[in-house]
Amino acid sequence: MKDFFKSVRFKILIFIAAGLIGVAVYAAVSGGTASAPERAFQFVTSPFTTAMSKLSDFAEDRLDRIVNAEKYKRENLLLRQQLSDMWTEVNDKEKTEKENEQLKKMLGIAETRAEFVWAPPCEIIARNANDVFGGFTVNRGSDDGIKPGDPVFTEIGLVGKVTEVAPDYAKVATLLSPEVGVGVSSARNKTVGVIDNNIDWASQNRCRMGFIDSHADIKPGDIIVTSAESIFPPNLVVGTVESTEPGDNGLSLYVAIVPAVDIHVITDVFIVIGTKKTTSEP
Amino acid sequence: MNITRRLLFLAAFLLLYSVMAGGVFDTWQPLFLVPLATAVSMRESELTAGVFGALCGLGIDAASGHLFGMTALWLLIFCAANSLLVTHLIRQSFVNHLLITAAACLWLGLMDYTFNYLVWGYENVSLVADKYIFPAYAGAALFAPLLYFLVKFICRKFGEDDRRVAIAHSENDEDYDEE
Repeated sequence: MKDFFKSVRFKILIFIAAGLIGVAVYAAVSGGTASAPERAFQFVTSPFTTAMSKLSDFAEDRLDRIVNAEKYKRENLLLRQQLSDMWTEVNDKEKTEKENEQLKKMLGIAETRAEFVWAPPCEIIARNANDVFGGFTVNRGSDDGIKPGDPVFTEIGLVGKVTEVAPDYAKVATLLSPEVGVGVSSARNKTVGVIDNNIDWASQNRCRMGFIDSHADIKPGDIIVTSAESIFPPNLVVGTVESTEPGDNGLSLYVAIVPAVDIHVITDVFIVIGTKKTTSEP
Repeated sequence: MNITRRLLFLAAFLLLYSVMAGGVFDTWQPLFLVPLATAVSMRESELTAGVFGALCGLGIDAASGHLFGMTALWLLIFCAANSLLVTHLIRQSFVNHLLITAAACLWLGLMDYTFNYLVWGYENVSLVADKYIFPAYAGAALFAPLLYFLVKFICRKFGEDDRRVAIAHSENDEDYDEE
């Protein structure tokens, strides 16, 4: 062993050790930046390190899938349940918000129409398929006091009337339908007439007002409301006059009315189930 | 000089360094390069053992982000001394390798703890020893048998350092590789 300390190999080792001390000192005084020898070492080894890291990630991922499959399944079920609960909650919230909105509208109408007795706010739950007259079904029925013939409208104006009721739903015919023969008049000068629609007019989303004297003073822009002689409560807005044209016999006029309510886009309506005067009667 | 054997040692170094630096284990990384360096140093001449030890030390420093060259210096000394020990004084056995690796781990762990944590006056510094340093060095010692037999296998297949074997034989035939 004595020979070793006199050998060239020992001197080489001492030389390397001295070099390492130099490297360590250099690294120590580099102050936050990697020293050149360290960078060189990292440069040479980085491809292997990167490859091993990727291999490790891959293996870990595969192993994780196998080992934790049951745990992930349970988590998945739990999350699905939570998601379902959240959806229900969101749905309930939306329903509540909508109901709140409806009640606000109804309150506004009720204040201006204090004489009416109202059914709870109604939501359109179905529309008659391929119905040119735009008939629909609402989610309230006879349980809420609704009966055939009750007027249906929104905060803007008249929509139609109830034609059929069940305990929990009601079918509504709109102003576009010939079924709703409502007596109307001009708000400006009380020129009276009757909504007497047909398919041709309904397909253009217009109401035909007939039975008007040919000399009547009625012109485009006039507002048409339900008349006092109507089966509906008076002064509900029906629409505005778009044009007039002479009747078939030349003795009367037809008036084209643009309904105040766009029947094909509404989602909620209100139904009057009576007036305070009539309900107070025995 | 057997190039294949040394290339295989180098490949083992790269593989184990990559495992350490690639973050294969979650928190602490076993310092595989310590038992590898001691195992190789038992089969190589002092110079090769020292150089390989220094290389492994650089790998440990680079992987653990400590002062680059510090562990290399310790392992250079340790491995060269180990090679001399195995050549002249002790037997080339699994138990000796385990003891030498444990000693190396103890020393390196102590140096690591002292110079990287203790002298800086960190709070709760003992936690580092409990959660990182001790498991890392204990893990290294735990892998010592595996790496010992790997190196032995490589040497069986591709030969050992002739000069070192000749010296070992000439000094005491009975002490040489009795396993």
